[in-house]
Amino acid sequence: MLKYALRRLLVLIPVLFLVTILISSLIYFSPGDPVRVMLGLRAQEEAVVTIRAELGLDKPYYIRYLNWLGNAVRGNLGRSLQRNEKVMDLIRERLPATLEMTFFAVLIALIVAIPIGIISATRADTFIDNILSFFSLFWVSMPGFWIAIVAVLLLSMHWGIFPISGRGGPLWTAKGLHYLALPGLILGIRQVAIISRLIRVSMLEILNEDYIRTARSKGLAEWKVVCKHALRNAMIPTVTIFGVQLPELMSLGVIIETVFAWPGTGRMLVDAVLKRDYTLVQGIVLVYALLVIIMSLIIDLVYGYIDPRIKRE
Amino acid sequence: MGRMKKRGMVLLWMGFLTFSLFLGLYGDGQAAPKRGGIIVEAMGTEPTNLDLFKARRQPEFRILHLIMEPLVVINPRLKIEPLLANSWKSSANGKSWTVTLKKGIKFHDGEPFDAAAVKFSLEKHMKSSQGGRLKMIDTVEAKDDQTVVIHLKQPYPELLNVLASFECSMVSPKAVNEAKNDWGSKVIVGTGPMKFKEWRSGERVVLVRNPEYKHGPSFVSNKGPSYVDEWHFRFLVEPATLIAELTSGDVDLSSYVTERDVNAVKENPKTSVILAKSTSPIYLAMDVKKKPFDDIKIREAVCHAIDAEAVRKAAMSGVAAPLYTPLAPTVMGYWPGPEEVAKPLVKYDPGKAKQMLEEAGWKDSGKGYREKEGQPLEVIFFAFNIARYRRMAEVATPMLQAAGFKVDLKILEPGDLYERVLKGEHHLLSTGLVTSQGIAMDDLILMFHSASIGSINQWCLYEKPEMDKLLDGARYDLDAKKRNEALKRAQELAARDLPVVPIANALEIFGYKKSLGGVENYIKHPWCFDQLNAYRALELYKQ
Repeated sequence: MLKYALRRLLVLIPVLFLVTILISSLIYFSPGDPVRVMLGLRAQEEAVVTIRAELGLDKPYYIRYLNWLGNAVRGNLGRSLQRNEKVMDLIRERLPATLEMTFFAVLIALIVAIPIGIISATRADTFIDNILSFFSLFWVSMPGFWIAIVAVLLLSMHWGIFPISGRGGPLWTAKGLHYLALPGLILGIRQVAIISRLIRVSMLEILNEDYIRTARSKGLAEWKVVCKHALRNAMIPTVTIFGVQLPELMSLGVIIETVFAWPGTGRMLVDAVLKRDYTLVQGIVLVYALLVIIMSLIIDLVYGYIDPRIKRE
Repeated sequence: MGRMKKRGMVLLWMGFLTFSLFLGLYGDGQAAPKRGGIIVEAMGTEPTNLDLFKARRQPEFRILHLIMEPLVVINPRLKIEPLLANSWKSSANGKSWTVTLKKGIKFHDGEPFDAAAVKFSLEKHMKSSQGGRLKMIDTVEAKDDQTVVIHLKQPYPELLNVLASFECSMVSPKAVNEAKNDWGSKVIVGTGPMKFKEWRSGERVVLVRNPEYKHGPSFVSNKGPSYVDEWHFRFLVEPATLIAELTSGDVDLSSYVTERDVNAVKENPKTSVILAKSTSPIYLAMDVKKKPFDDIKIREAVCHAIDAEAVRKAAMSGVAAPLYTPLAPTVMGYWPGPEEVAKPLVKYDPGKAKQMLEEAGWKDSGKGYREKEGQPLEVIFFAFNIARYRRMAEVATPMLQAAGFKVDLKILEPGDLYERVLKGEHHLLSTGLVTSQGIAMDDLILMFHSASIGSINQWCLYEKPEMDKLLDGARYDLDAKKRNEALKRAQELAARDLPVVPIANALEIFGYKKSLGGVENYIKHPWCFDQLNAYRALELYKQ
């Protein structure tokens, strides 16, 4: 298992390299002058030229990229062009908020989706299954932005259950959890819909298998048949889709961060792109790519746990 | 006698009590301002950085205004008044100004505010990206601790108007030198009523009361320190969230209420809204060097083709005042005379627009647009990807098309748009002068002096020796009457030449919770929502 994990981590290096080349090319060659954006409408032309030179923006693209890469390898992601703060410091400040919200959304997704999927599968084509199917389709179809605004109107403004926006502190504090609950829920609800449908479909297939019939005929309690034998096998395709959904979660997080004024890296990335803050964009994308790769690795390791045959292979 | 004296005392006390009751019933009824608490202000965007020498956007200004101050200030009568400077005197030839500073003022880091700090600050401003405003200054001399002499390259009678601008605020030399790269993000030091405490990225900037502040200008009711303990700026990018927090959450005020949300704030029982004319004009700028807009008749035709009132209704939900010239009527030095010249030239009259185009030789080609000698009447129309300007362009486009223009509308991000405009790729631009300093002469120089060509505000690429001469006279002539006359003529020329299609005088929208006290004092200055918004830190309090 360790060898496997190390092999996967080695794959990280060329992938990260390709990602940084792609992103830096896209942002460098997109129209717009970060110095003009920084200095505003009344900047003198000489000042724009001077600052462009100070920031190294007058050098050819490949020199700028190689300089950045050389520093990045040593853990120095440079300074934000707009803020003049270290990119690592900015990411360190904002990333925990994004990870908290993503983690909470994943937790909600798993805690809620698995029981819903099981109930839907074991009561297939009943009234309960139809209701659950309707809600799953509803949450998948509705745009996240709309759900977020409606949630704020109802749950925050009208009923006052949750705060409207902002972050109240770290996840492990009561206030932090209170502020995280609504954005985390909205982010996770779409995953609940997707994963519960997936579990339902997988479970329906598995519940007709011979070994399930054998388990029942052995006199095992129904809950053991479903949760211990059937669910474990149903989780394999679910984990696959879940792994694919994780990057989508992080990108959807940008919308949630905007609506709820959640101080995460998603919104920081969008701002950085709009302001042509090249170094900040590269730094955040690099960190995101790293996170996605590590999450994929974790998913693969989870496979091995769920299905020992995969581990042996 | 004793009994009479006793009776007299009783009568006196009864009279006193009656008088007090009378005052209580018929006095102004205002409770004394409450000290303490936190005011939370919502902004629609996070500042890029808080470096006074680089930042030039509204989000930066709104925060820095509470922390830093210039030497002098413009009062509600639009006259110069002491602030950090006590007095000033120009030399006979107008080439040097001696400024005496107030004593006993300190920066937030404890350093004294003195002539050395003024010299340092002005020199740093002169070298900064915005140093163009101070290019009349040759050298700055710290004669002694309380006296600064500013030597000019040529006489500049309006120097104090420049020194009153926020961009000429004073900073602590020690703080700037020691902070290095942290200046503008972790270290921000001034003399203002609030001190910088922290900037939680993506979340809020926190300022705390400056307990030493006691030198507020004459027109504020509270000279300092501020009533509140802290002032928080929260960044709420989504307008629906901002309104939700203002009406039901912890936000006390915001100048980022959009035109569409004005009614929601007005109708909410907990909140109120004030609309005030800003110093910013909103218009469609025409590149007057490029065909067809090099012909004043075509520019006039465009003005007649555009229904400015309809554009205001669509793009600003009607929350805007009319505009007839390129200047907002609230700026210092504004002369209303040119409005009468401009009104018939910019009046919505689509029939007249078509007639003028016909007379200029632009005939209907039958393809949906006009042509002249085989060339289409083409207009490349740029707009910022900002709701107001985008919507203005979207509403104006069919009006232009109805007149016979072939319009190519491009909505662009600011970075991209600046680049293309500087290259002169546009015919028409949906924009405004959002960086108005509130001074007519300065605004006209920014928009129409040939020396400004190459900087972003010269959207029109307007170049006319007559205008240059008038504007130079308005700023350099030692005779105040002649300066005034030159300024009036310049305004008239700008109105007559039609380099822009005036659309609106933007309104400042100030939404606030009714539980906020001191608002009636705060709004006494006509510029209280833009250039002079610093004094909200002194006037406002939590009830």
